[in-house]
Amino acid sequence: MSIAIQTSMITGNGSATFTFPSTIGAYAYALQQFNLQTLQLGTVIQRIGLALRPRDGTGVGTTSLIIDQQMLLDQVDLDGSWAQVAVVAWLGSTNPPGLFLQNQNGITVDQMSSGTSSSPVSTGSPPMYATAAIAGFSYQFADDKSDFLGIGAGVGATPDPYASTPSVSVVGSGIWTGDSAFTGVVDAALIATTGDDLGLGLGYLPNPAWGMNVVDRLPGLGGAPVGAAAFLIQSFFCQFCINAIGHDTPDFSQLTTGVPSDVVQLNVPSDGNVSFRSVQQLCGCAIVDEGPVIFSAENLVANYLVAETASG
Amino acid sequence: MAHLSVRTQAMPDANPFASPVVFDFTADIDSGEQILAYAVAMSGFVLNYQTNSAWWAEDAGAVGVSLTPNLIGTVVAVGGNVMLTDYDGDSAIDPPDSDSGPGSVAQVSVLAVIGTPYTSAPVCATAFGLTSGQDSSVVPIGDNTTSLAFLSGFSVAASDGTGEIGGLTLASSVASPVGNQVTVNGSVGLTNFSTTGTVDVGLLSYGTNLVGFDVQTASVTWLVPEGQQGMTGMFFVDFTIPSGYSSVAQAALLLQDVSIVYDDTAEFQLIQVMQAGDLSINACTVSGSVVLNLFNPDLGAHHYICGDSSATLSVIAQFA
Repeated sequence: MSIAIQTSMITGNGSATFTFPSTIGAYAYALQQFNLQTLQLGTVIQRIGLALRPRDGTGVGTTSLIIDQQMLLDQVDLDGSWAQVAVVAWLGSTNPPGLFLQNQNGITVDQMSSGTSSSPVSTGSPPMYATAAIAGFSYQFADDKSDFLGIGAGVGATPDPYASTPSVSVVGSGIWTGDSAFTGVVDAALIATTGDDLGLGLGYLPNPAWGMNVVDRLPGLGGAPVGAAAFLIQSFFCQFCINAIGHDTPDFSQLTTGVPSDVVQLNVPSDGNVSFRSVQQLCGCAIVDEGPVIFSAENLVANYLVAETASG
Repeated sequence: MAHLSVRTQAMPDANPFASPVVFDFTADIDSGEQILAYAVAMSGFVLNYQTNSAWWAEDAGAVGVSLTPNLIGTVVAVGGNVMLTDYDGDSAIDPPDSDSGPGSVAQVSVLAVIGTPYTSAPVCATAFGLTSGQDSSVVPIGDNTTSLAFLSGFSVAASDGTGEIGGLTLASSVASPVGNQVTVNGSVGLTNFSTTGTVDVGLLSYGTNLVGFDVQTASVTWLVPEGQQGMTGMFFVDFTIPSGYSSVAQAALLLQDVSIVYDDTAEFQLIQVMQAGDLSINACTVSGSVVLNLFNPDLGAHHYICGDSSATLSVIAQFA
């Protein structure tokens, strides 16, 4: 029985198969990176997001998990839009003691209200780690002619006040500013443990700097080298410059957030470390002086939950 | 027996959403102990428009503060989020600039119950997303406990379109216990304006099994408003240090109610309930000031906060 971490790219409305060496007892999936882009440079959109769903008959009790992806972006470029999806799985019996892995979808975040999941998880004793990551989001403007100013999502885990024994709920928040109100939901992976002896290292990475960064050794690995790692997006925000062109904000072209898998280096520069790079981009296009001009976001921030397993 | 730790800090002045606010309780956690429960508190906020026009002030569309916590071992990492929009390209400024004034941030506090693992820890949690004016589901509490409710966040939006406002009201409360259960309630509204909203309400319910802290309602002396400088309230709280402790080590404000009254129904640039700098801690006393503000500096349309404004706040102190 052990923890396993895998990542896989899903393009457009495609799917990915995560195959493990033994039976899955519990799992959670989340976004490590995503790229949403429209077919044309500069598009007025009313809907943005993506959804991930496990396919029935896969997952717990089997050795493979199939995740289906659906892009929820108007005028989406399906060939150019993708997500890097990470799965944290417990291989062994169901309901492993002290470990709680699950996804909770559809947390309402209309107008940046704080939504909580409807299914708190009873942990039996107080958790040492109670944390969440974004597994999808779906936002919609009330008006179909809304300019796009800024977008963000964030999730967390909170003690459930309504339970008589220790329990945690997922809490989510979201924002999409433009020319009308928005409604939306976020989907989240919940990872909670009541101990740190399960071979799962968890760490919080607030707003990594541009360029390469290094994750310090995490206590959950007991000093062992890192065998696998995933960077789960916990929150992000991007916003065009408000005074970019002195009038309307640019129309949407592309939103990218996350950590590319191909730049993650395990045990670099030393055993127990992980090197990585965080990438964020929000691009749009506006007509200035009768010609198209590409604009990039001014505000950019992403925060991550890093999950690691030991090698061997 | 468990003990309570308190931390407070403002969101970094960089982004209005997903702003990481990290609270490290490692120094307060002895061997065999861990964080048993935690709650976030909105101890203040500044929401300041950055506009895409020649005007400083705009209508209100949606206004809010939300705090999303994660527990990472001995650290509580909070996502700090603020929102201000008029649905017309104007939004909360952050980072600040020399022209538009202060950044839009929240003062974030975390209460953490620390002790050895057991299942009957005091209630220290947040009831997120309560519809304004409606009671929460029942919260089970212990025998002979005192319950304290405080604001942890809010979202308020125009019911239809955007408009001018006459002020902002926020409230939190906890009902008297029925048996070993309580409910909490929160409300939010923009005065003279039809809105819908939600409120996040924190709850600390404690008895003699939670030590190392005290909380007192602050008696605030409000000064006369000074135009764009807002209305300052000064407070001084004297704590009785219990046996085994020698001083106040940490302190934070807990907002219970806020009423900001405008001198008209008008557009605004900035709305604020925020402590002025750090709280001053001196042995057994905690003092400081809080500034309420709401103004429109546009030429020919100057509007400011009224002296009818007020806030009810408590000071929670951690002893060392």
